[in-house]
Amino acid sequence: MLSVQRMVRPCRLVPTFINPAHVSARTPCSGRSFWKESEVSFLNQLLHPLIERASALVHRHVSDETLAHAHEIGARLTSLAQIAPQARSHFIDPAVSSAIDSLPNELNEFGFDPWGFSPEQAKFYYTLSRPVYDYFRPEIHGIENVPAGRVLIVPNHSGQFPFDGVVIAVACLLQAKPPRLVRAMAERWVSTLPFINEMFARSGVVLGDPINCRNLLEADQAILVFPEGARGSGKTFWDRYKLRSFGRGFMRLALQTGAPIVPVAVIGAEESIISVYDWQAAAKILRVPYAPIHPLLPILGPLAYLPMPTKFRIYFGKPMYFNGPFDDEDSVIQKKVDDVQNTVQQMINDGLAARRSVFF
Amino acid sequence: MATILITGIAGGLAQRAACQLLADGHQVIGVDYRSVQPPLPPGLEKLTICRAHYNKTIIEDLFRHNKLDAVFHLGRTGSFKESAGKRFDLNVVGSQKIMNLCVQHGVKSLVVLSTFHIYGAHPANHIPIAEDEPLRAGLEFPQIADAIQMDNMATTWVYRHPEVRTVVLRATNIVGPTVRNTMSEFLRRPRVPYLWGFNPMSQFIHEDDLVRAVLGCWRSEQRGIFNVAGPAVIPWRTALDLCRARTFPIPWPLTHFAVQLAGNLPYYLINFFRYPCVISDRALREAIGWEPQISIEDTLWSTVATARLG
Repeated sequence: MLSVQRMVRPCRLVPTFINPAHVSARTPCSGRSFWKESEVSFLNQLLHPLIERASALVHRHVSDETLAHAHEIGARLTSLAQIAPQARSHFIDPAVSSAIDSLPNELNEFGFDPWGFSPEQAKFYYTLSRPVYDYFRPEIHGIENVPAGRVLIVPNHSGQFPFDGVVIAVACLLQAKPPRLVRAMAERWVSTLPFINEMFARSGVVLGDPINCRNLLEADQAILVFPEGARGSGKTFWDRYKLRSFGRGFMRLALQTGAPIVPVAVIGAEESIISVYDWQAAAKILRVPYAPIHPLLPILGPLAYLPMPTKFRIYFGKPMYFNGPFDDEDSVIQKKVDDVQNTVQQMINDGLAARRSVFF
Repeated sequence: MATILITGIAGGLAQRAACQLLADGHQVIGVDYRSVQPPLPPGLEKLTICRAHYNKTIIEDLFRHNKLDAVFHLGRTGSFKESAGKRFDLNVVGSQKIMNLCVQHGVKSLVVLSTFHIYGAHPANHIPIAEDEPLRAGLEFPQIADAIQMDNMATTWVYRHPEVRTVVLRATNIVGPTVRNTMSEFLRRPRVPYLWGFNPMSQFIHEDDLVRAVLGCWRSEQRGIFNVAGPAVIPWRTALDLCRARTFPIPWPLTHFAVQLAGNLPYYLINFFRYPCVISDRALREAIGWEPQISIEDTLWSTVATARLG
């Protein structure tokens, strides 16, 4: 019934200028053309003499030798563009590549999962984030505590920009055995940002929505959730390493899906970008959750927001298992949440006590 | 042998369904408010065609004079060539009339084709969307009100009138060689635009797969609301590559201007090029054992092949 001409793998065609043959050859059922036929013939009439005159001018003033030379340069540029994908594959970190290849994610025949994760593109983005990881020289403790199968990874959030998330994600991919892909939960406005939304989706970040999270846990994925939310990462220097109260949503999801919770303490992110004041009025204008003021802002300007090379110390705690109905009263859920929060706070305090230097 | 009334017979989808039914030896009556273009595809020689507005009395006669076993209401108009008033008349008032007639004349089963557009592409959408989730389309784009109201009416009908076994199908982007809806015409353009910096996950379903779902629902004993998604979820620009389309980017601030240039493209579609709206059809697969038979490559390429190859 369906006769489809099989084709070779399609590629994006190089756009050429309006081709009248193409337009006039279309069948009546092919729908509206971008250019009307009258417009095409008008443009051609308009442009044809101009193009002829221009080529005549070129031929009069430029020798054949130079033209041949230009042609050669053009051909070389084209061949450069053709090898760009190969160059990209050379750029990819082999450690990242082999870790991502070993992931058990279910993908369709085009290499995507329904949330938009694509291993091939994730390799590229993880390689890009590898320098961020190396910059903070993270010391990873207890990564073997991340169990196989579904799990909620619950760290403290700090450092104005989500470098803590990047470092945890790279650590789970490169240090965990077997490698784990963490699906970070992003704020809603992330999906409204051009380019960023695609980059995040391809590397496995998903919208922080309870149903999304439940679907992923049921698919035995590792979820990275910051229960402090933006309140945590926007902390000022005076409140460093004091946890903001955790939300309850992650606990309900853990109870509903029977997923263990791995508490995580991140030490060192608080000092990488220092904020002395959260200027809410500016945040409202910029439509962001917080606007940190760096003490060196008057001297360095925007450069003040480059992170300092503090040393990250990341402690993965023992997995915590909880039982009980997920739709219980808030007070019951809150007790379990407090349990997790106190564990994370304790791990932070221990980590700070063991730390000798912020930078080494 | 059953007698079946199909609305929207001027469209490719209804004609495919009719073709299947006639081949199986059923009697089919096609209705449309538009005129049916004369060279009918082969296989439709025995089709009875009637031109009638869904909200006028001619359609009542069809119910009076024929003992109908089933009605497939596939004729929702999503075209913005029609005014909002006419779309309301056809989609809401007309559908209500058809559903009332089904009850009055003891039609046993009714299949209503709704759309996934009513979920709306929204930054707050999780993935995938199941049938009982909120319809966010009206939040930003009130022009889609008629589709939402028609869907709501049909879904309440499922439970208010148990004597008519009603199935509501919320299908994803319907494409295929004979379909002439906004999405397939959009893909057939010589140059297809995309929003710069956005590449949401999209789904497409082939007309024949959808027809199989409609017939499957009719033959089964199921009632209720089901999403119909296609074979694979792919990014929008991968879909354009599969259509072998020439593409060009449009920066987000210029979208409204571009939509005006593009003519009758519904505004609510813009967000489908920006945010994902991925639906889950697990319920339908489990209920009637249906699954798409045509791969996503064939689905998309068969839609645009004639236009691309001339």
